[in-house]
Amino acid sequence: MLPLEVDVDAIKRKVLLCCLLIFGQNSWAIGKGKAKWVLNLYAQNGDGGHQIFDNSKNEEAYAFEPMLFVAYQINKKTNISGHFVFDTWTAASDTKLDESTGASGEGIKSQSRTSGSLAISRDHKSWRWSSQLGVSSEYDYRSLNFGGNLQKSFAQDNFVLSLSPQIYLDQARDFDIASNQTLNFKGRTIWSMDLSGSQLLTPNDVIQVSYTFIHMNGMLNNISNSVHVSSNPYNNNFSRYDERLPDKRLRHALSSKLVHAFNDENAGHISYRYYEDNWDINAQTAELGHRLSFNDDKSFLMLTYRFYDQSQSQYFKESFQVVETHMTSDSDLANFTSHRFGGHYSHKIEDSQIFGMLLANMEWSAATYFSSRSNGLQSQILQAGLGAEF
Amino acid sequence: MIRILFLFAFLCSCANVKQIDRGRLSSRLMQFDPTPEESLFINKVNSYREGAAGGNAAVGGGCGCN
Repeated sequence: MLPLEVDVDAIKRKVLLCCLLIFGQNSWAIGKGKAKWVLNLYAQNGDGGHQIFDNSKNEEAYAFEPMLFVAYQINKKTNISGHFVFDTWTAASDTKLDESTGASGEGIKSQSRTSGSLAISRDHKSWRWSSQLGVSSEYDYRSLNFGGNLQKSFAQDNFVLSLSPQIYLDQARDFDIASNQTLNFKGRTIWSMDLSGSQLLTPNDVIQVSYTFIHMNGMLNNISNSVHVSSNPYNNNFSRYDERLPDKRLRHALSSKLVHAFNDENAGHISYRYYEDNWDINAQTAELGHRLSFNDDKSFLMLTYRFYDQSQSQYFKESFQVVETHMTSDSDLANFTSHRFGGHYSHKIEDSQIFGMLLANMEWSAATYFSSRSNGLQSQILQAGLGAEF
Repeated sequence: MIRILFLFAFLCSCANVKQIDRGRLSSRLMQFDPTPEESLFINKVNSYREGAAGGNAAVGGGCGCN
């Protein structure tokens, strides 16, 4: 039996039961628990999708993802937290693929995914550890993942060193264009290690430096991606083949972030990340942001600009003249630059009582981000949130 | 990796900020991520729409996002 052949529904039931048992053993007290709903909307459109199955290059897609976050303090040293996600999306390319294959059982116009995670953390003197279990399930993908974090503070908490390993035991389906069939699940294992350190520099400055290593192994093709193969680019005699990517990817990212306070109401941040992998992608990311706290700290505003630039993968071409061992036309692996502008606003509202439960520190939030890529893709994110302590 | 360890050692040797001077540092303004719940979705979108990943919790697993 493969380690990934697990009953995801059974795990979900057990996670839910654990939550109920833990919550049930404690009397409610204000400030012990926190909950937050976040609704996410994502929309993208583009005409540079050379990977699209029906040759339309249309990258139009929409996703709706509500998230529920819950955290509860069991005692002075122990916290549990969890988040639960249900998302649904439609993509022009997926619809074409599904109508062709019937992979999801019918000619569907949308797909859905459920996922969740449960984490527990504990403090002991200058140490803190946490562990996390997560599951995810959709028709062409399922995942069981574990993670942890070990944190140690030094010099009266001026310097904090953190080590975070994660492992994803995933399974994904591939699509065989030649036989016009969706294939059975194949394994994909991802493990990562993140080492980070943060330092208080002055009463107005704090800096974080981190290094992340990600090892991906297994079936790394994307089910909806295909490539255009034609020996003569000037005629319409071509074939489409499924994407073929190596079964191993080694990724490295080195990043740093500095936050500086101008005064009690204004702060700014700047971050930079350098990334490279063995598929020949090099990327640089920089972000600038301004944060503003006003209205007696009841209101919070953050404005950000993010710049991203990457070189294309060695396996990427817009179209191929011959069938190669590894080939992709995925626009996400192409050479491009992107600019993203965004803003987040949140506001605290009066405490209120709902169904006999006092909700304190209630806060609603709204955010929007707009991104434009040099290879034609534009996307927008809208977020709305509501959180409270109980 | 050795360079990173040297960098951490350098950071460790920085001047310390006393507890009494940390009032501003503990505010929401000074958090590395002041909107962690919202960032979870944004980081996930970035990791699937870009060739790069890392530097946050999104490492490319847990979702078959197309």
